[in-house]
Amino acid sequence: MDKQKILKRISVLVICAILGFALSMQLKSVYKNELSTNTTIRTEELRRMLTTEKEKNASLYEQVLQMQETIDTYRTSIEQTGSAYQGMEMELENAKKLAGLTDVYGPGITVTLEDANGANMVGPAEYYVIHDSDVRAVVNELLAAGAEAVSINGERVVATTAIRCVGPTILVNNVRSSVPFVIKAIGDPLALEGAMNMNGGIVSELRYYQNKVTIQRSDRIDMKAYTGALTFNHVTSVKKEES
Amino acid sequence: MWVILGLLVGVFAGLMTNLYIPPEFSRYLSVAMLACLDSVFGAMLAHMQKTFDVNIFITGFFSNALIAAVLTFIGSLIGVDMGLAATIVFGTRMLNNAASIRRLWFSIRRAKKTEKENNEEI
Repeated sequence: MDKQKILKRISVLVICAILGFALSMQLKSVYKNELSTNTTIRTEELRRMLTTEKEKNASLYEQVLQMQETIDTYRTSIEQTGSAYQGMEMELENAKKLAGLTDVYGPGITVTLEDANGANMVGPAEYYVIHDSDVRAVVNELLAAGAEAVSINGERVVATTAIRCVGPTILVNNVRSSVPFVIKAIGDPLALEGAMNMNGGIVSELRYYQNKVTIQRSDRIDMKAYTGALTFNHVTSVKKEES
Repeated sequence: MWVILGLLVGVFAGLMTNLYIPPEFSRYLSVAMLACLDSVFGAMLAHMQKTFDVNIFITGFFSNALIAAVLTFIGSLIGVDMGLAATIVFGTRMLNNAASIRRLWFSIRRAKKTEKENNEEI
C-alpha cells in the first residue's frame, strides 16, 4: 500500500468522523431544545404575548397603587379623626360624579345635530330630520369612546335617563327639547372626536342624509348636575349580610 | 468501510462529550451539515466512477459547509430564509447522487456478472 492511499483513507476517516460528530451534536441539541422548523414564527408569537402581558401587568400595578392610595386615605382619616368619615366623603364625591349629581367641567367635545334643509331632498321627509334614535346613537358612541359625562341640551345623561320621541321633539330626562340638539361630552377630546368621525359611524350616516352635524373640541366644557327626581320606589340595596 | 468507521467514531465522540449547540447556531449547523452530507454522497459517487479526488473532497466538504452557513446567516440578516434554499439544493443533489449511485452499482454488478460468465465459457 503506497503512502498516497493511506493518506487518502485517513483523510476520509477524519472527515467522516467530523461529520458524525456534528450530526450527533445537532441531534442532541435538537432533542434538548425541542426545536421545530417554525422556531422563528413561534419566537415572534411569544414576543407579542410577552408584550401584551407586560402591558396588562403595568395597568394592574397602577390599579394596585390606586387601591393603596384609597386605603391610605382611609387610614389617615381614621388616625386623625378616629373615623373613616373623610375617606368615605371622598368616595361619596366620586360616586356623585359618576351619577351626575354634581356640576362638572373638563375637556371634551360638543356635537350639534340639526335637521337638513337642503334643496335636493329625495324620498320621505323622515330621512332628513334628527330622530331620538340618532341622538341615542351619538350618546352611545360617545360613552363607548370613554366620555365621563354627557349632556343633551343641558340635560345631564344619568343612569336612568331615557331619550325618546314625542312628536317633533324628544324627551330627555322628561324634559322636552328640540333641534338643534347640542350634545356635550367630557372626556379625551381627540378620542371622542375620532369616535364621532369613524367611517360608517352615526355621524357619517347623518351627513349622508344632509343633516347638519358640527363637532367642536374644547378645553373646557361646563356641565350642570342632574336636576331630576331621585326617588327609588322599587329598588332596595342588598346588604352584605342578606346576600 | 472507512466511511462507516469514521461516522461511528464521530457519533460516539459527539454523544460522549457534554457539549451542546446553542439554539441560535443550530440552524447554521444544520445547514452546514446538509452540505457535508452532500459532499459525502458526492464522494461516494465519485469513488464508484473512479474519479475520486481527495483534495476536491476535503475542500468541498469544508467550503460547502462554510458557504451554506454564511449564506444562511446573511439571509437571516436581510430577512430571507436562505436555509430553505440550501435545504432544497443540497437535498435535491443528495437524492440525485443516491439515484446515480444505485444505477451505477447495478451496472457494475451486471458487468462483473457478464465478465464471470465469459470467463466460465472460456
